[in-house]
Amino acid sequence: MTLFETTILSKTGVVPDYALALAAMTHENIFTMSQAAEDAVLRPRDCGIFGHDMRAALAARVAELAEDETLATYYLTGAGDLATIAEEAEPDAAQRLTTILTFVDKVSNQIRHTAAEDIAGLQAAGISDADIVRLCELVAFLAYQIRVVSGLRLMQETTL
Amino acid sequence: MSCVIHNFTRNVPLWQPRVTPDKLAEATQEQLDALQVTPSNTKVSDYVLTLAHDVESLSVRSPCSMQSCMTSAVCRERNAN
Repeated sequence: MTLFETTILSKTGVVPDYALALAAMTHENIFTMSQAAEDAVLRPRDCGIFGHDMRAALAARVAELAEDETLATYYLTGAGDLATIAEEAEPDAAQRLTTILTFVDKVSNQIRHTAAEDIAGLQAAGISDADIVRLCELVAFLAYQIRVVSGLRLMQETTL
Repeated sequence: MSCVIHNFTRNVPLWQPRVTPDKLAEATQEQLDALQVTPSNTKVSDYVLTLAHDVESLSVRSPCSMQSCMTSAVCRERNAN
């Protein structure tokens, strides 16, 4: 994968001819490490209860809530049959899935309102501590990636 | 801000995980590799031991410019490619 094929730069729309590309090339390690972080939380070897398709679906949901259609579409391609949970309302979701989605929505968009009860709720739903950490790592990475992509798009608008 | 804060404290805030950290004594080799990526190897904190639940993520979240990073299997592999 080249620098400009990393998710952050490709979904920003940066190509080598753009002025922003020069700045990106001077920070290549950041984009390489960010891609490694994406691979680790979206497509890990040890998934726990969150398979690659579920992780992609959750990522699409978070991107959708952040109104980033480009990232949402990108992640939906890996969601397979679970793509429907990317939608805001999923009335038929099982109770445990509902608990997971409620948690993801809250930490993605109302992080300062997150409380001990939210973690306890996941534990009460039978989700192991290791899987809770996996889920938090996924959402935390997405918060980072979505903001970096958003910021780079703004930079690109001013440097074109 | 709606109010000015006048009170100060020198008490150092403590971080306590809501989940149970992994036990260092029971860590797998992959976890031990990842834990060496952290800034301090003298005492492994509960914070890092909590993140060790997701060892693949922990392995890639610390800066690779750190000398200790090259002890990580992930970074050795990346450096070789």
